[in-house]
Formats: sequence, structure tokens, C-alpha cells
Amino acid sequence: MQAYESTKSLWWLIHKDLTREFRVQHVWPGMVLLGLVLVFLLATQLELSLEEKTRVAGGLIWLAIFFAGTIACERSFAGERDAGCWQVLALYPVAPSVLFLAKVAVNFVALAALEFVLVPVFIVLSDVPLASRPGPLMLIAVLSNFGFVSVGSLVSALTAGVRRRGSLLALLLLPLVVPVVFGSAEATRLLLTGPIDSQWWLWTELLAVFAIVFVVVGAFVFEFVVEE
Amino acid sequence: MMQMFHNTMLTSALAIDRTSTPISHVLGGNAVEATGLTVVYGRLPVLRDVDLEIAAGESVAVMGPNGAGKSTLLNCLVGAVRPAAGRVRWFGEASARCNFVRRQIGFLGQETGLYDELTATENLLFAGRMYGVSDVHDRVANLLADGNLRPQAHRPVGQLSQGMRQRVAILRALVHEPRLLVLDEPSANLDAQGREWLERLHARWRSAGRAICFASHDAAQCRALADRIVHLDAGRVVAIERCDCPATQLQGCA
Repeated sequence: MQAYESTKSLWWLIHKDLTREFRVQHVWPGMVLLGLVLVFLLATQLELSLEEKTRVAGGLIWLAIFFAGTIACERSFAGERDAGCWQVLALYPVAPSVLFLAKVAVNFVALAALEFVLVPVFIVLSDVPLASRPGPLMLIAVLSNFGFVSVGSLVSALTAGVRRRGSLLALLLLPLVVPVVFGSAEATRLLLTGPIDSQWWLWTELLAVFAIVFVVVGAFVFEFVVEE
Repeated sequence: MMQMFHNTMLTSALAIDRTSTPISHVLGGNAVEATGLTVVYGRLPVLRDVDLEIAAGESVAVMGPNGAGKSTLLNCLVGAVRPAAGRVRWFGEASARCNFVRRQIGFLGQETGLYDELTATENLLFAGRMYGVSDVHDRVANLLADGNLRPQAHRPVGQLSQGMRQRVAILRALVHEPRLLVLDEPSANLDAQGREWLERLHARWRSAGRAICFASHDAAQCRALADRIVHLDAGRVVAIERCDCPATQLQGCA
């Protein structure tokens, strides 16, 4: 019964955040614009052969996605604090882990939407056949997104209460997600340059472990992170 | 795999939320009892050894100059701030994290805590759903009618006047019919009509047996609405005024 109540609360928290974003578009346009600028610069300014571009494409696209995605993570809790809504949200009879999972889900959707825009643009501008194997690429994207947004949501919750936080989130988040950036870049490079082999699975498994560990750990420690 | 993951997360949600322990549902007696509350921000003591009990059906006002610790005291009374020393019990329970306790408390903070992008109806529906209110649509419609907010029901809260936002925020605190209402300056931004509405609501809450604690700078309003006024200064209770005969029952309590 309590699991059912938690699932319902989770759904309404996600619904609320997505409704707010779709109605006013506070975050997504800025995030997509930054991503497009980065992709445009990275895809057009590198004077490399197609073979060399294919080798570095994974690193470039994931760097652009995660850099732009930092904006979504930053606003996810700052938006609640700015409006004074966090205090009210924290008093609802909802487990803190449910609040965390809702933010993870909303940030996941934001990052997925960003990827749906940036990946085709990158392919058009660079001629790299990034989507030649869409299934495995989607798997890398899903695992990377979970890893990134779980850390991002946790750090966002930590920094949202800090006055004059400025670029604190980016400073804390980007070093923490180095394994995700590295794993997704390597998995994408292997995907583009050869067959799906044990090496590719190794990197994909690393991404999966990182995603699971951070989502679970995040759900457990969130209560202490947000405590006044 | 996904099902397993989902189940694991929900189990962890339940494990973290220490709410599933059996609860002695003590609904009579005091709604809230605070004993020896001391709150320190950094090195600055904000509340010092404050005791306060509020019984069901009782209304208590908290008054004091700016920085006296009124909002901190109210935040302690809803479990939003953990005191450095002392304790609070709600309906006999020692933890505000308990879902039973949270469902009994309605809180209005200094800020409205409303989402500007959502309409008044959506804000109230969201709060109602978080509290698991049954027939939430009917409940919200009745509340909006009660607050004379029907014409504004489908306008984003960000487009409403400050007074209307305050009404929506007060209604949000009531959406789950709490037994303890904690309101930080509820009449802020309300016009004369709004204040009358608040006074009518206040009388109804009391007759329904709800415990009320509110902070205000308006001495006349406090005397009109409250049974007791707790005077705070520099984090200490300096006096408790009984409003049935305030001139004779002013008690110093240094």
C-alpha cells in the first residue's frame, strides 16, 4: 500500500516539474542553445579526416551533452528553493528518496530531449555515422544519463541551499562525472570503430554499475543532503 | 531488470522514510509540546530554551520584533528545523518525519511556497495529491469557492496579486484538513476583506478543534484571535499574555 502511495507521489512530482517546464520553459531552451553552440563549434572547427573525427566523436558529443545538461541539474533544486517551495515540499508525507527519484526522472527526460536535438545536428555537421547502430547507442545514452543525472541531482540538492552558489554545481559535478564521460566516450568510440565486442560490453557495464550505484546511493543519502 | 530496479528503489524509499513504525495515534490532549527548544545558526543562538504547548482547539499567537525568533519557532513546531537542544512532540509522537504527524500539520511559511507557473487549482491539487487527499478535485473546488477565488482558479499563481497568492497559500495549508495549523504572518498582504475572511476561517478552525499557532506583528489581531500570546525577544519567551483578560494576566517568564 505504501509502495503504491510512493509511486503515485513520484508520478505527481514528475508531472508537476514537467508541467512547470513545458508551460514557462525556464531551463530547456537555454540548455539546448548551449548544447547547439558547443556541437556546432566542436563539429565544424576540427579539421580532421572522417576517420579521425569518428574516433573522437564520442568524446565530443558527450562533452557537449553533459556540459549543457548541467544547466538542467542546476535548476532542478534551485527552482524549488527560489520560490520557497522546498520548505513546503520537504514537509509533505513523502519519503526523501521519492523526491530524489522524481528529480532524477525529470533531469533524465531533459537530457534525453537534449540528445534528441544534439545527436542529429552533430551527425549532419560532422558526417560521423553516430547513429549507425541506434540500439547500442541508445543503451549507452540511457546508462550515461542515469549516471549523470543521479550525481547531478544530488549535487544540485547540496548546492541549492548555498547563497552565492554561482558555478559551484559545475565545479563539483563535472569532476564527479568523469567516469561517466570517459565511459560513454569510450563505449561510443568502440561502437563507431569496430564490432560490438567484450571491450564494448566492459565499458557499458561500467556505465551500468555507475548508474545503479549513484541512483541507489543518492536515494539513501538524499535525506541527509537536504536536511537543514 | 527494470522491475527489480523499480522494486529496489521503492523498498529503499520505504526504508529511508521511517514512517512505517506503529504509531500511537494520540489525538486528544496537546497537539504540540515543545520543551527547552534551543536553535543556533552558526554561533548565533536564535531560540533559547523555549517551552510551548498548544492544545486541540487552542489558538496561540507569537509576537516579537524582527529577529526575535518567531519564524524559527514556527519552523521547529512543524519539524522543518531541528533544534540544537530540546524536543518537540506532535500528538504524542516524537518524530515529525512520521507520515501520521505530517498529515496532521498544515504550514504556511514566510514565503507562499506556491509554483508561479501552475494555476491556483493545480497548486492545490498538487498539495492534495501529496497528502493523499481523497476526492481531491471536490476538495479543491470547495476551498477555492470558500476563498472567493473561483474566478482566479485557472490563472497561473504568478499572475495573481500578492493578496490572492496569500489566500491560495492559506488554502494550501488547509487542503488535507490538518489538526495543527502553523501560520507565519498569515495576514501579510491581505486587504481588509482578506483579513475578515481569515478571521472567519480562524473561528471555524477553532470550533472544529484544530490547534492554531500563528506569528503576527498585529497586536490587535493577535488579541482578537488568540487565547494566548507568546512574546518573544532575542530568542527568549519574555511574556505570555492570556487574551481573555490580558491586562491582569501578563506573566513575566524570563
